[in-house]
Amino acid sequence: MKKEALSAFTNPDMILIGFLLFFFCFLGVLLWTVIVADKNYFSKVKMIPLTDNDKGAKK
Amino acid sequence: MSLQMDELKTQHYDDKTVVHFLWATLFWGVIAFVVGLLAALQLSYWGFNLNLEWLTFGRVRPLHTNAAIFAFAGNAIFAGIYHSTQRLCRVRMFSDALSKIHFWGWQLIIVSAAITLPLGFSQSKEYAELEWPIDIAITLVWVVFAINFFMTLKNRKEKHMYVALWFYIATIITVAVLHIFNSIEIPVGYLNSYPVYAGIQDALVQWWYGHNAVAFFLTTPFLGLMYYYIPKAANRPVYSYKLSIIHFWALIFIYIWAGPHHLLNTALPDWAQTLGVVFSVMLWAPSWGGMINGILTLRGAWDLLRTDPIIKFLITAVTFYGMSTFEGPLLSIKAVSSLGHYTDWIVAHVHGGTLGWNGFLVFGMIYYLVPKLYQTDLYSKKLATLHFWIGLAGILIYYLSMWAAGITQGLMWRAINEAGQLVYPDFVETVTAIVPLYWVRALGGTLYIIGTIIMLYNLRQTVKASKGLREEKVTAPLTERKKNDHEDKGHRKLEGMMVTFSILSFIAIAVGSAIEIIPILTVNDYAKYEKVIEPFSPLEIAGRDIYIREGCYTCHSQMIRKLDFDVLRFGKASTIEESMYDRPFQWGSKRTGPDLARVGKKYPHLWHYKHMENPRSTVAGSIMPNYPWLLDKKTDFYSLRRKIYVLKSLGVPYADEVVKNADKVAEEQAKIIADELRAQGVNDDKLEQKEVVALIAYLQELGQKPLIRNINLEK
Repeated sequence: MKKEALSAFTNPDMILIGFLLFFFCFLGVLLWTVIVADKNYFSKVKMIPLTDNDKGAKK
Repeated sequence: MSLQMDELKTQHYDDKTVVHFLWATLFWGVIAFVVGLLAALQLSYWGFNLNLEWLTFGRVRPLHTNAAIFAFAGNAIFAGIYHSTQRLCRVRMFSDALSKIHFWGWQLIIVSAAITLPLGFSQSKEYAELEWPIDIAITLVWVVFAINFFMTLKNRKEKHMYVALWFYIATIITVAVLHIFNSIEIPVGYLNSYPVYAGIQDALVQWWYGHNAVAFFLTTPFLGLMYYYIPKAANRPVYSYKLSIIHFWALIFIYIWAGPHHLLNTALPDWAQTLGVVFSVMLWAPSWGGMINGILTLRGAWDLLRTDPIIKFLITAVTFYGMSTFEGPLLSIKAVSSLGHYTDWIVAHVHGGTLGWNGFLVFGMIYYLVPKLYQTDLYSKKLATLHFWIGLAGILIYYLSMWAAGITQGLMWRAINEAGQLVYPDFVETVTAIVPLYWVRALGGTLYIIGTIIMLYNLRQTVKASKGLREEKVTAPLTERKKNDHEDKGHRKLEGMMVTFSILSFIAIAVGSAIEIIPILTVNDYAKYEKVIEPFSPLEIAGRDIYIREGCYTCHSQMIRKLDFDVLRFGKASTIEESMYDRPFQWGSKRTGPDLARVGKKYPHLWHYKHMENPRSTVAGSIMPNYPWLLDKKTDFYSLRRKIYVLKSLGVPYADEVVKNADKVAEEQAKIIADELRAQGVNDDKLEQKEVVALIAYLQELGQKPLIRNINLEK
């Protein structure tokens, strides 16, 4: 039966490949961001929205 | 000459398009909210349906959701993206012509939806109800938007693509993929179609779309807006740029997998349900990472929360994002879903997100943008603050009332006494118990609308006192982009590479989509089954199309879950085979009325006839609208040959004779039912031609179709 076939279907390889792909990509991004990336560079680029003509709240 | 003109153009940002989208946001927002209030009142008292077919809840509800998502939120997204993209790229939008086509094309789509949905032209797939010509128009307009956006990125002067742009990229790519795959349908008329997917395939594709419409239309673009407008409004950089990188990649990869959590405890295979649960729970981490990043942007300036209404709106919006993204994974756990699914708890959850997260972020953005664009101050900060508190009170009243209604009804459904019987066997008593809370909900909605009207007045006065729309010069980039920049490495290099970044974003969403959907779509390759369900007769198909037109799925499910209390109340749990030819599937997502999967033969024809004429004549206390027009309007027998032909071509095992004579076969079956009704006292000489007969034919076969030999196996 269709339902039984579907219920039994697990395709662990595909799920595992997808998960591992995500996990290692995530790990790569995490490690690069936390360890390798240049902090000064981030400090600079996060100012992009604040360096145009508009100014926001005044203290 | 033209070069000089081009250079002049690039000296200023295109803010006219931004303003057009802003006013469209407000216009459609008010309509979406008012229609939502009407729907809320209709559930409080059935008389608000007014006995008008184009104003019944089943047609109003999709109108409300489409208006709120695609008209209100959609226009707001475009306003924010057009405004922030130009400034982040330090360049005018690529093409003024494409911007105009995008704006007017989108408004045309909204108007088409506002006309066709009340008229009953619907695919009945939630948030994808619009029929095939509008689906094509959406695709074309989205392509125009994508070209305009990506060419602007290509022309940018700023070297680095700021994090908000990543979220816009993911939005544009993913919405295109979702819309195209979920909208593959075969037209059977100028405004009617059947999807190529059926039953379980349709359910999974639809909720892959439906869940990710929330993810990539109501979340990722708004996160992009959050990463731009909170720093702008607070005049401080985002809390952690590193966290934003992790937030982005983790969120777009994980979100796409979570669709099956809309189908927990159903006939969907367990492995797919588990997949949806696991990835939904994993979503907690990136969602809260983003929320923390947004809120902590205010570090060192918390006093703004007290003094600045824009910051109030923006930070409260992010707080609602955090609450909704906590509640979403919670509801995705099977045990919690068994209580909350099909109830108003889901309605509460959805509105916490839309009214709180989307609505308040839009209001904050508009309060920020209008004075800037019109080079003036906001007319009244006090009125904006009043709007904030009234709106917040409205959301909380809405949210808490629906939370209470949902949990109350969910507990009543599952209450079983010591004898193993349902404590509340009559479904209607679980509805009447929560009707007072529907009135409270309507009060919450009213407050939200009052707040919006205050905002409209405030903005009108602001614009009135202004010197007109500002022409803002393009600012110099922070780090100028050169054509041969190769010195960057790693993610920093990637952030400057538009095409590569976009392709990687696509791969991130494609992995989850493929693994989730391909096995379901290719089920026939490995599943050998000997018996299939007998398909609906032509008259039953006509009745089914009426069921879809009236939006019955908005209140009735056709999926008895594998839960004891569901089985006790409605009968044997639904199986995959029972809906295997359903195009579109009708599993539903809400039970304002009872499940109908096994309603066939439960009541005589006359009961259904009377029930459609006036539901309260058969079920005391029912809040269902009257459907008097079904007793007068004639069934469309003429189109049945074409419909049955299309269904057969999609794999439904109809005999050639049935296809050729679909209308005659239907008329014969209608006459039998009409004769029975006349024998029971219905006085109508032309009853067999009336829509109510076709609908009765369909309802009486739900859960009654026998399994037959699979003729495909013999080929």
